[in-house]
Amino acid sequence: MTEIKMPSAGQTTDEAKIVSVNVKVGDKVKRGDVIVEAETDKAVLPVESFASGEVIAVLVEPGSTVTAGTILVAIGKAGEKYGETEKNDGQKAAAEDTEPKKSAAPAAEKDGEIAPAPEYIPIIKGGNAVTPAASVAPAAPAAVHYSMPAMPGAKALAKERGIDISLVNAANGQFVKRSDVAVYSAGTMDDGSEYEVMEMNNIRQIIARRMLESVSTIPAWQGSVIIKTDAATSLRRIYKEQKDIKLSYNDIAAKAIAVASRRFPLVNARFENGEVRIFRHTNVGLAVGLPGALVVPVVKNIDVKSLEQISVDYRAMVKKAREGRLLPDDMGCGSVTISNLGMYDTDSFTAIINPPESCILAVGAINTVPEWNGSEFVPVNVMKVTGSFDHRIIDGAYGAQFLQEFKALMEDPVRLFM
Amino acid sequence: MENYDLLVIGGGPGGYSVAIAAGKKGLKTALFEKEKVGGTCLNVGCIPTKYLVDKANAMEKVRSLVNKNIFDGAGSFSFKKIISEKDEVVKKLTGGVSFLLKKAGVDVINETATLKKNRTVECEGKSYRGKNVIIATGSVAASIPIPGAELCIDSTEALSLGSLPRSMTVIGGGIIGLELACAFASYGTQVTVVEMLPELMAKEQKEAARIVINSMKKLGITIRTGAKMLRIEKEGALRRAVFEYEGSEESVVCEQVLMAVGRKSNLCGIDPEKLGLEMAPRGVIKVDEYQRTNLPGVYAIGDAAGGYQLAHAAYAEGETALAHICGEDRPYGTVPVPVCTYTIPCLASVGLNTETAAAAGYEPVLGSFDYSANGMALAEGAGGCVYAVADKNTGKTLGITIVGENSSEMIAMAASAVADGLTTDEWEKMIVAHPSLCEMVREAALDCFGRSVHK
Repeated sequence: MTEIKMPSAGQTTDEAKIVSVNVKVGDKVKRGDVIVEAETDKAVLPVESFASGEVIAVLVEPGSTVTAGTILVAIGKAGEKYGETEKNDGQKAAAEDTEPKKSAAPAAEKDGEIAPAPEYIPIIKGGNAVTPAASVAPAAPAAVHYSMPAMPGAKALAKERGIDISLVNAANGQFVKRSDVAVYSAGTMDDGSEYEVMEMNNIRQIIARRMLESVSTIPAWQGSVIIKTDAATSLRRIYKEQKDIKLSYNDIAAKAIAVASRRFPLVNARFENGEVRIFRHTNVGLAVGLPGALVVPVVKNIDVKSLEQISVDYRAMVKKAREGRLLPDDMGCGSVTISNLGMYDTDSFTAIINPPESCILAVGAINTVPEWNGSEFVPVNVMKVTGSFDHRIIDGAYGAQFLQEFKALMEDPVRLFM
Repeated sequence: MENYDLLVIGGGPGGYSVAIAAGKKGLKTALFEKEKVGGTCLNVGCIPTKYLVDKANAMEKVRSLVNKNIFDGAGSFSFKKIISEKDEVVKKLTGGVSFLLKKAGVDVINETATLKKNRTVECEGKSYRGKNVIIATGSVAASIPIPGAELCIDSTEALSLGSLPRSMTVIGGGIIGLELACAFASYGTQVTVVEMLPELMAKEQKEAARIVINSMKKLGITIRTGAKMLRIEKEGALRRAVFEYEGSEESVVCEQVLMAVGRKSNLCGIDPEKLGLEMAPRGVIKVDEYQRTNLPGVYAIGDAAGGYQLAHAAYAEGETALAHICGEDRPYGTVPVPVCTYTIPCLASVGLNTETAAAAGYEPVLGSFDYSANGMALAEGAGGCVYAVADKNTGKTLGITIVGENSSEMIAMAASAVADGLTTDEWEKMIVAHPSLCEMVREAALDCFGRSVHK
């Protein structure tokens, strides 16, 4: 018998919430099968089985809070009972075992109820569904709607009342009728309150806690530079043409931070345990917005990586983030974060430092502005980058000079390769 | 060099049936098949699809019973079991075909064969000489060259998926595409059909096609006709199918994209240029009404020779070829071929429809009879309609289209009536059991001249 325990999820995590249990007693599992998904303060972490066999006990259920080392599931041979094996050295051991056994049994039964065999799909569509694909692609984006066909009358009523018809279930399991829409709309209007309460899932709670921690404990100051982007733009074009690599401005900015950190090593620092720790390598995080959440995956050792590699690494990280597959190790190890809202036409903004990092660079949109070149106005493309710095680590003059160096590197990216 | 009376290349429906028939007639026959006997039809085509469609129909039936509160709830089903049971059925059938071949004394050679000049077939270093050769190499799934085509699955893969996809886009609204679209939609997959032509089932009687299309919409299938597939993109673990529809780009995100744009002839082991084999347009082998190619003693049947891509057409072509080998005169094409599309509901037709009859110079009259007026259909909770086309001048039945439950069974009766050119007087003399769905075929034929009793 093997007990699958909650693995340690990295530095800051102490607790995790079980979001789904994918097995039930009697299921056959292989090594590598995801048996439980747990939400830590950084990500939803799939817990894989490292043993093959039959599930003989499930000790957690969705919603339970666990810490590293908590036993989640026991795996053994078919017919084996949890707590009865390998301990035949007298009654005392057996007595010790009775306790986990007692707690194991009801949990397992309860679990059997809420997670019916995923292989079977209800024949009546839209019934309290175990959707088959849920186990296949847990990370499937929510954007895909699976609605039922609707009668024209139902569609008209839904439109009239401003209801998304895809949310209405058909009472007959086949198609949505006008009466279904009426029932749905009555249900949604009934409670009469003026607002809905947004559910604070784990990630939102973490964002709230960490951002508040940042603004209340870090003495931050801000400074902006305006950077001409034509050189960076042509660098992107060259990479596209010569190597067919789609560099992003963030990739170039990350590299520029790393090169600038040779002269300004404090940007590689973190304020931890009351001391300023200056790291040897530059680890740069990238803020990635997800529906209802924000994560900051980090690409490590930017200083020793080629632009090409940096681009590949960020792309992989963003993909993982979008698919909800970021591991604790992919986050929380940076000293600088890049937050780019340029794609949403935000010209400039200040960002909140991601503790315990030393700074965060807020990158705005690229705009064309007139510039006086001495005899006439000429159009130049610029973007505004605003740095927020932890004053405990970086003072004004130091931070300004770093920004100046960063600007120079971005405007003359050849220097990135020197 | 081994000598045979007949060498058959390809063990699909056309090949295996002609080999068995030849063996039974006492011809020394060898059959070459590189994969499994039964061909596309038995292994990865008609039969497996029908298994899937049948289970879907069963579920539709259960749903209607639940809807009427006769059943209290419906329980659940396992897609995995459907697939594994389907494999059992296929195994049983191919086993049966192997047994029949053995019993008929046919030598089955399970290797890839190559046709050489002078009716010689080479296989695994050995040469076989036949007095006659029948090419029955069948067809393979076709594909369209769009970016991301490699992300698609074909019908063979769709029939052996490990789990039910939540959503699927079907490229191509032909028989294969529509049948699978219906089955998966009934299982609960969100299906989108993208067809390049402006309408689905264009060759069928319009009224009947409309019933099928409406029913597919009720199943929740999204239909995009006149839409040009542009590309398939990866979107995480999913696919994004991008197509042009009504002048703008549309896209669907789905788990699977099924490429079902038709089948092209398979000429594996046949090199037309080297052999001097004459070809017809669209890459099929040119044959005459006796299925003869331009090479003496060499015949071609089934999908390799074009025409209807249907197993029963291949059977009939094989029979024609064998009759000719045995010195009989039985040209192909004198009898109409019934065509069944196993959508939900199934559409079956034989002979002409009003459009093709008018084009052929007849003065067509259309008779119809709805399932809702038939006792048996009401008892079974079946819906649909029968359409009959007759010539106004001679009263002869030219074609029949049936849409609804059991249409693929009823079409046999219709096919024999159309083949014989039954007149209204003859229909009137016919006695059909009551209650039965077949009554509707007679009533529809009589309705052409306003002589239906129950309408």
